[in-house]
Amino acid sequence: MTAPATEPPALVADHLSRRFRGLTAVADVSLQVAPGARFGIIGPNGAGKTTLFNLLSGELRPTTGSVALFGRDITALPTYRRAALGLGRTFQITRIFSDLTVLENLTLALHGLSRTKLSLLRPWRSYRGMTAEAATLAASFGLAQRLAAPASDLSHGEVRELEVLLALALKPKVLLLDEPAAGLSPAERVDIQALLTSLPAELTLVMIEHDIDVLRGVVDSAAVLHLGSLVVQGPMRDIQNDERVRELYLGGAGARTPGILALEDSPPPGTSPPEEAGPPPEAGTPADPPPEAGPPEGGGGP
Amino acid sequence: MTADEKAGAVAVSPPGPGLPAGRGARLALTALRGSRRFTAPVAAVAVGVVLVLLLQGNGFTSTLVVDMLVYAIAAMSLDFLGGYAGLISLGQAGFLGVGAYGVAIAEVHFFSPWAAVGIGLGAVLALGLALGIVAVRTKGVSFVIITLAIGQVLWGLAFQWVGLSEGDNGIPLTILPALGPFDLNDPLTLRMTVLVVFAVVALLLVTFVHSPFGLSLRGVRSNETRLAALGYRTGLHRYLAWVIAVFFAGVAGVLYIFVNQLISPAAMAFSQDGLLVIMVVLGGLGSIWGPALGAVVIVLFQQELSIYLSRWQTLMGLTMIAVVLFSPGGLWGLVRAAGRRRDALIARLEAGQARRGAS
Repeated sequence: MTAPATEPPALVADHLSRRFRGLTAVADVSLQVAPGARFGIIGPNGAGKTTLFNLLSGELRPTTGSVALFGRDITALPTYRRAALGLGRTFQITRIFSDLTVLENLTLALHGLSRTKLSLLRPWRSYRGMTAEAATLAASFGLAQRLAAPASDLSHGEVRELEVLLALALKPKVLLLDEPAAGLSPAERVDIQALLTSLPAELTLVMIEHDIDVLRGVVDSAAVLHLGSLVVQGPMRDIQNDERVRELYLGGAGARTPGILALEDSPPPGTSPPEEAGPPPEAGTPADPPPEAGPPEGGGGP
Repeated sequence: MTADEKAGAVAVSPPGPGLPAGRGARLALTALRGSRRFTAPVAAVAVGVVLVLLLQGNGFTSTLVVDMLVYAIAAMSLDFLGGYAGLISLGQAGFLGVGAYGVAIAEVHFFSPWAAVGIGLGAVLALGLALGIVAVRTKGVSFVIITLAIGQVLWGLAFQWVGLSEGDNGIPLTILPALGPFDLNDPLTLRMTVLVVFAVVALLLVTFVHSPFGLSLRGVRSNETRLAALGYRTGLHRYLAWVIAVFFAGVAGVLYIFVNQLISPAAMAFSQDGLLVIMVVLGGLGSIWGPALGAVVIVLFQQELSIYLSRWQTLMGLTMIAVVLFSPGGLWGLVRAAGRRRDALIARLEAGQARRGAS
């Protein structure tokens, strides 16, 4: 865990907490993700995973604690400044620009970190480099034929792909992926897994995922959250064999197969992504989980 | 498919009695392709010629056209904010008033006419910059309400700050700017100037909406949270869109007082704000040209129809309902749909040609 002094960790959460009117969604979570790591975040519904992401990416401010990106304290920075420093993210509840075409979506993302985003007098289509790059991005994920299609016409699988492509367009150094495979068919899951494994090695990935098969193929270490608190953090192998984790997921049934983690809330393909604030999934968890997709994001519903 | 294609060809140009069907289809195709390429320039030239002819006379019609152009500028500025950034303002007529009052009050205080124009535009820009800090903190319904409040405060100032605005009577403007032979006191020069300013504002706004900044405004409307995660300082983008829209409303205001030679609180009343929104929605939200068309129709209703029909508002309301029901994209949506139908017809004719060529 201790990185060499010359290379600070890519992402550090230091005693992060977030309370919503008395409910503690994230309680004193400390994480360290090394540069180039593939890091997973696991936990039942209402565990605080998405709230933790919102704290890391700047959508929410922590009640206490701090966030650091490559050794720089970014706790006070707004989302767009964090993006400029190389922190990209995707959203669990898809947030693409559905009124725009695929090409417009990707071009908008590509202008994000360039001064040209404030350019007024030149048509965006005339930025040939950007539109070519958008086409390349789309082709990298099977959206090449869909460039002119309005994003609202895309299938659920294509929307999830576009969601990831938008984040990749910024060439982030650290990418937060919030359930990229949510609601995808098995074939589409394979596609997204292939894309994730093909990402450059120097890119640091932090990924929330319910599907342990997707996770196992991509991440090497993980953290388990439960009711806002960190239960355990370490290499994937240790996590899968951890007694507390098994107890958490199985209510102490003691089954041996680590893959059983996938049982937790994997939605049938084609359905909309599950909401974090949904009903408690298992008999083992308390009936009152903290509201995760919390109140501050008004109008952010599906 | 062949039957479809023939029907399409017949609908456009019925082949003559001795003309083989294949040739008729070919002619139709050529005509349609030509229309695709030349619609915009031909329409622009035609509209320009009609306007110039109308603007030359001194009668009722030329006054009507000039009014249309002034309101079109205000409606287009409102569309830039509402149709692209998704911020519908109910205070736009207030800023039109600020531009007009700025000119009038400056002239009352013995500034030269040109300086008065500068003061009018400067006042509206300063006010836009200041009020924008408050206004763009809100979105959706809150934004509508806060702009309504701003518009009403501006109207209230014009109405009650009698020492500055002369209250309900308004301020007349007697001397317009002149520069050598270019004299806005000459009615024809003034009308041509309004036409040129309209064209410049329209082209600027159309350029803006196709720029990366224009794209970012559509992104703001579509999904602001995502846009922030992509590195955009979304508040800044909304603020700039607001300032641009307010400034062009002020430009419309300066032309308004030149044309009417009087500004009174009536020009800033809530009904005027509503009328501008109706122009935008009737013409087509998010199309720039559409709201200009909406301004033409509404001014026509207001000034022409009202002569013959005292209940012209009823007819305006019914028209509004019909457009919203049958063409949610407004009048401009109808124009676009016609263009799409033509393209589909071209594609069908081309397919027919290809089949005939192959066999």
